[in-house]
Amino acid sequence: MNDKLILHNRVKEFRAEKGLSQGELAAMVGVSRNTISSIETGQYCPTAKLALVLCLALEKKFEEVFYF
Amino acid sequence: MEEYELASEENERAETEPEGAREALSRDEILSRARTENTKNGDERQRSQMQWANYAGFIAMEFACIIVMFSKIFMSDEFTPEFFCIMFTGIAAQNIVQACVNKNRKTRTVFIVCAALVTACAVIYWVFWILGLCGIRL
Repeated sequence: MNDKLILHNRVKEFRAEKGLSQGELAAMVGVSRNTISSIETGQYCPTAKLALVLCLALEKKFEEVFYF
Repeated sequence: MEEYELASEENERAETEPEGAREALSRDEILSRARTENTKNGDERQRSQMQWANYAGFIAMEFACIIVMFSKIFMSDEFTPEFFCIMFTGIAAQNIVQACVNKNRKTRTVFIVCAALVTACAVIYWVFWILGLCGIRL
């Protein structure tokens, strides 16, 4: 049984909904495209600050974008 | 008990009514500030460090294998080509996968170079092994 608490996200889904590319979202929040890609694939867990900025950029609530 | 209640009341007040002038920033203002913070952004640095640590470990392992291979060839009379065949084929496969999956141009180039190098090593050992099996000693 896997007890690890993994933070999932819907960044890719909401980004596509807004018609933004990874590069455009990255430019909006001030990180590199690689960081957005790593977040979307779950390789990197963003800090609270970046997570909130991403929510603002995507115009979604935190709990809509990030979930367990 | 009373003290605890007072403290919790104060905490509650602090949570709902934070003291000091809390600036209410607009969405655009926050995004604009986030953009200008780009170079010193902790996430960017942290992710980059994680990625490079991963690559460094991977590449160090490969170089260690190459050094072992050459030391075995030049400094020892006996070496087991079948072991190196398996090892280098595995590493070559890993490198090829990394080179295919990686989208970063710089790191992709590094992986392509490593993949070529390790595949060459694997091929050399396969040749050695097959020749050894045929009874030909070099």
